[in-house]
Amino acid sequence: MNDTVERKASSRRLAVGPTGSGRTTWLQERYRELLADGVSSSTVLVLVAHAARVGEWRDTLGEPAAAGLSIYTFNGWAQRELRRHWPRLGRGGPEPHFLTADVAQFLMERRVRQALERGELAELTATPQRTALLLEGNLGVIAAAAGVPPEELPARMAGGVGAKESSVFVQAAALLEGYHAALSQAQVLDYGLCLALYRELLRDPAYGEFLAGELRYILVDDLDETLPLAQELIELLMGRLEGGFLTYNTDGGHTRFQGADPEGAWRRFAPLCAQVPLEGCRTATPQLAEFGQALFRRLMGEEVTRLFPLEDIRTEFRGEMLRQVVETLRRELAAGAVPGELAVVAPAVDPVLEHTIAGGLAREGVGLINLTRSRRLRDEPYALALVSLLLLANPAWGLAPSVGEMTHTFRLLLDLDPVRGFLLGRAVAGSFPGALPDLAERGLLPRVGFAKGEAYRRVAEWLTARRAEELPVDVFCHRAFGELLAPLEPAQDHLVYCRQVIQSAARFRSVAQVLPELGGAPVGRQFAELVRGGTVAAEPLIARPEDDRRVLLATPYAYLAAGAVSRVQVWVDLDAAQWLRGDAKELVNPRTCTPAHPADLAWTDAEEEAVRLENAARTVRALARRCTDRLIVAGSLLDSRGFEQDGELAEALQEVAG
Amino acid sequence: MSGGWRLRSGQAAVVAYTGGYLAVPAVPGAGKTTALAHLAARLIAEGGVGKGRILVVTYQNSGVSNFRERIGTLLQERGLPPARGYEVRTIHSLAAQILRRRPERRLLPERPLILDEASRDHILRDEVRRWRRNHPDTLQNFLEPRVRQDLQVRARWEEAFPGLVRQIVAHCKAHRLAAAPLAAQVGKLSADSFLRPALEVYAAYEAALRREGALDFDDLLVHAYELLRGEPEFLERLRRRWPFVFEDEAQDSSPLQEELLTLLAGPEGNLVRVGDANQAIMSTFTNADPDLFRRFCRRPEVLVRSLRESGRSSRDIIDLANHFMRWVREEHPWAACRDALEEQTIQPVAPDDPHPNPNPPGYHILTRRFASQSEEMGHVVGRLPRALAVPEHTVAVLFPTNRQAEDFARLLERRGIPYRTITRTRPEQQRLAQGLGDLLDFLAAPHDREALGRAVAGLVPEAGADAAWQAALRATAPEELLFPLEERAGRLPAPAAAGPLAAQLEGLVRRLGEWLELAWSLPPDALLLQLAEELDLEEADAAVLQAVALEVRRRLAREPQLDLVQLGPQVRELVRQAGHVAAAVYDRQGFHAEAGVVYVTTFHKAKGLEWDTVYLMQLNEGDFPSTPTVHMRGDLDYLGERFRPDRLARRELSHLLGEEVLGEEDLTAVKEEEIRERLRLLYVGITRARENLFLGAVDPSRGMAPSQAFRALEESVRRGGEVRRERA
Repeated sequence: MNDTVERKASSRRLAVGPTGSGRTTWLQERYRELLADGVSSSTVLVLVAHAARVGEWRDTLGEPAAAGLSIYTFNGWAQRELRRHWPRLGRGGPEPHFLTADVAQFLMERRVRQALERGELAELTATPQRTALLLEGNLGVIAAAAGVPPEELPARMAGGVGAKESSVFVQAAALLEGYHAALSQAQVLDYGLCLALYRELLRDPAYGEFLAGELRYILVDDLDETLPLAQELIELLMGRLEGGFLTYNTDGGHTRFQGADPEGAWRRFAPLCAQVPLEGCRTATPQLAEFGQALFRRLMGEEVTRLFPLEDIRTEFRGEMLRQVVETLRRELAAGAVPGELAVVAPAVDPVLEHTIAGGLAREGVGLINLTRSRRLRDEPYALALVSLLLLANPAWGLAPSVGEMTHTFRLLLDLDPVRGFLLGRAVAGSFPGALPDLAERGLLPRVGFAKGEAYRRVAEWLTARRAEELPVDVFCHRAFGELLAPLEPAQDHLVYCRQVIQSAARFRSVAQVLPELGGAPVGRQFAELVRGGTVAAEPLIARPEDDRRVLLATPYAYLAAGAVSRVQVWVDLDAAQWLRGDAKELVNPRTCTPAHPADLAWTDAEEEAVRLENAARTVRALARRCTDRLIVAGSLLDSRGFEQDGELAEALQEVAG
Repeated sequence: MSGGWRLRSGQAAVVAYTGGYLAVPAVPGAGKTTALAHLAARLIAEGGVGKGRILVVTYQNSGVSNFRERIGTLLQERGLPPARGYEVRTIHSLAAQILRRRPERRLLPERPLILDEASRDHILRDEVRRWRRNHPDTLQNFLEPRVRQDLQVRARWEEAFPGLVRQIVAHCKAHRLAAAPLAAQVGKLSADSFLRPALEVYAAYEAALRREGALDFDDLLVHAYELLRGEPEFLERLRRRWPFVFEDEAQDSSPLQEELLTLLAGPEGNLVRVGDANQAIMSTFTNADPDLFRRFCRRPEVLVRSLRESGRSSRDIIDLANHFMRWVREEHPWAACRDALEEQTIQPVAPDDPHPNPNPPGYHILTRRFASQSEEMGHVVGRLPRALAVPEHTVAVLFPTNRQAEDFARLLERRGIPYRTITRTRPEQQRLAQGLGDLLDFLAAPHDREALGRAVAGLVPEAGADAAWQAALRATAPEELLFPLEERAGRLPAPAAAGPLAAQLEGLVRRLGEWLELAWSLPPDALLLQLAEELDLEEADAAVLQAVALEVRRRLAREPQLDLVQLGPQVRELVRQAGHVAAAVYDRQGFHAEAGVVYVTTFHKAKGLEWDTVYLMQLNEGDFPSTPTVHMRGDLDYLGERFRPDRLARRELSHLLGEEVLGEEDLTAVKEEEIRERLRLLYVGITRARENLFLGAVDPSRGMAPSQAFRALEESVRRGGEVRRERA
């Protein structure tokens, strides 16, 4: 710790408290004090843990308080700074291209498939999709955030699962390194590279000077969720700026699996700051807060000293459990609950769960919003239509649309019933890659109807004209939307997904222009494969959970990340093993992928067991502290595939509930 | 006595167990579940498990419910919570549970996909097809030259080949032999070795599973075992969680299963294994090894407490079973097979036992020979109405093969005799698969009149005979029926609109239109879930469909363009073959035979069940061989001298691993193993009956021959009848 930092300790404060103790409110009050003291908002930097918090901060502060204020997630901040200071890094080119997560996944997945074909990664049991996600989305980020050099990765990966270093880890690390090298060469950055380059920037004294000249104060919410690299930035600023206000959630640290280092944050900043303890819980009843603490203690191995009776749904089959959960939600709604006050929390959200709850609520005219990104963009009808039209307009790509895709598309375009849509879809798919069929010649005109036949003819003419052009993929999608889909007056949700397709296409094209490995095949074709392949997820349509008029469905992590608070929470699949999950995965263990952990030291079973229990304990305590009225729990003996479930959390709850 | 229950002396001895290794050889109907349940309850009530719990492992889902209910009831009687202090698992659920704690240690994802048999076979068949494309003539070269051009034989061989490969793969996994190292040694095998293609497919299959992030059931056990072996801390923690391990049906254990449970119990631990070596009937088609339990019983450190008393069957049936056991051990014509049954005499229970042996007046065991299979079936069918007329009397007819059982079921159907089949694919599954499959086929091809007709007939069976509806179907285009361009009051055209089924069909046609809208707007997995609700399925059927929907979702990740057109056939297969989940949901309540209906099943499927009257059919040499020279069902004669390629492949594998010297091919040992198992199968058949037993066989004049076992039983029955008459 340097002397300059020590001298400034009095203008540095760290608010410490559990969930619901008002840390964010305290931080916002500090900001208002700064404004009142004449500090310009443009000289204040606010770092928040999740993208959703950015909008919340602006809404809460309102105008003019929020005007000019820089509020970022660390990812957003790093990207902004890399754009601004790109020349300083000497990488060439005017600016970097940032990959979206989907395209990054797509690129890494291709490399993984190639590796598998070469016989590499043979010891792994994982889909290429998962391997790509672990390498690009997890390992690459965690290693970069912690500053772990690539040559240490194989040993740390092996140690992370208690194994000896073997070829699979060497191959996986080499895959990641090769991927990053290819991106770097083209000035294309995924999140991991972004962090690695930002580390370089942070090391540049001139950059520190620059920041010190631009900023006066740093405010950081949820310090417990910060990456080590973010902590380096914060420490730099704490040493150079006039002051800093930080908050630390003693219930937090839910993003360790993504590389967050709450213990490191505490070690760095607790000695630097005056601590402000925050108590109480504004987001839960005292009873639920106590219950959460009791459950925490029980999971950490302590005795249960008081009982908290709970409403409990227990069934043999999972389907029956879900039906009873729906009945419970209906009962709450009938008793006057507003949908947005209710939340269903499940350790994993699968189609059976979502469908049952959504269907049951729909019968009451109530919607369900799923915070987990589980829908594929290709399942959105308008998105699928855009991509299908793209294929029809480019027969030279050799990507034949299926009968199903054509049926969907023409049903949408011509407002056809399923039978007539199928007849037309089958005819169009059958004629590909030739000219679109003439309905009269095929004898389909009487079956489809003459009015629809005329509408089809116009679409066919439009496509024929497009076949003669070679429009860039995003331009084509934009035209198709404007000229064919927009006149259908789609609902707001559909408009959002169309926009997502067009924006994704534009970003993909801009990256393809600089990245050689995307140069082999037509850009539009690759984009179509990306969407059709299901890689691209449909963005969940929610701004702020508490404003929503729909019942919330989320995993614990998504629920907590969204900052949700509910009047009634229903915890489902109580017997599922996923309620108690460790951080170690088959290719990445964030606990061993940090310089603080010796590179050759294996992660033990006892350590992982402790992590598993502690993660669960913190999670359920935090959830309970975000419930203002009642908690209902539900579990089943069998999961949806007919396997008996573990029931560890259910056992703990049984002891606490009595 | 135990808590108000009266235990038999053998049961009481088991319940008195305090620790260590205990073997409990139990005769059929001895009440082993009762004994184990009482033991568990006693240990829990006395605090013998501390903070841990008793782990009860059984091999059937019906056993899981049974144990849970019994132990729960006993605990409640003692004023204790019914669900604490124990866990009941099938072996595969246990393995999955173990793996879920530390999947990363086995380089597995946190929720590895566990494939049901249907999905496993789907992937295996894909790999076989791929292998055959790369080796277009190899398969046919296994055939005897004289039949190579016979298209029917070639088709049969192509049909059998994937199943044989599956057996080799299962064998390799049961012995923890990884695919890649074996495939690397394929060059040492001769070009005509059956093991060669099997290992090549195994390697490809393994690679395919890994790319899917998936495990099959065999993998579950291998990984769980390796995890426990490689993680001593983790193992120790599980041993503290489960200080007692109980295994039911231990005679069906495989070497790997035995190793897994022994590892969990620990060398100084507490392991109770209950089984009946005389009912080991799975070894010829699974990895079960009947000698494992026998050897366990003989280990010096293992305490043995037998359960010999059985209240299930009448004295006469018990005497017959015991006589059969002695005949096998002392007089079987093939000496090497005399060890098929253990020296284990069934004893009737004490006269004052609360559940005494049935005591029907007279001698109720019959044997008979017939000129043909159809004569035998016809005879039995003729006797059934009388058996069914007895109040609260349950009846079953058992056959050696599924096909024979199905033929008999069709005969009952024609004669209007109420029946239920107990087959691998349950009737509920068949109905669900058929009905759903027809509906999906229609939704995928809504322009197809025939598909529409089948879908309607599946939901309104009478529609098939409704002339007005059939005429409307022929005369009206489907799109006009379902989505008329011009507004009209009803969907059905005249005269269907005036027919007897008009209201029903009108409603159905509208619903079909709604379902079509769903089908062409939802992803396939979501459609299945929606249909489960729309069709208002029974809970168990809905649970199966939910599992199928999850599998379809998985396939969508692999084949993103999977749509309705492919969905129907895949869903049919998935529902029919949904072995694990179907067992979990349909069998959970256990089996309770009902009076007034004939149960038709195979000897294998009858194990663990019982009825008042049992007919054992087709006790011929073909299915119950007496010597290795007899042709057996598993013999693939079209392969010539290598008519048992799977067994030969196993021997080659042992040789490849340096464990065996490959001499002249001798399949005698293979056949002897089968003879032994069929003898035990017959023993199982005999011991299903409580009061009345019928044994039938076909006479040699028609080319078949009654088995030697049947002849021995026939003789015993003749003498038994005399003894009975003398006694009377």
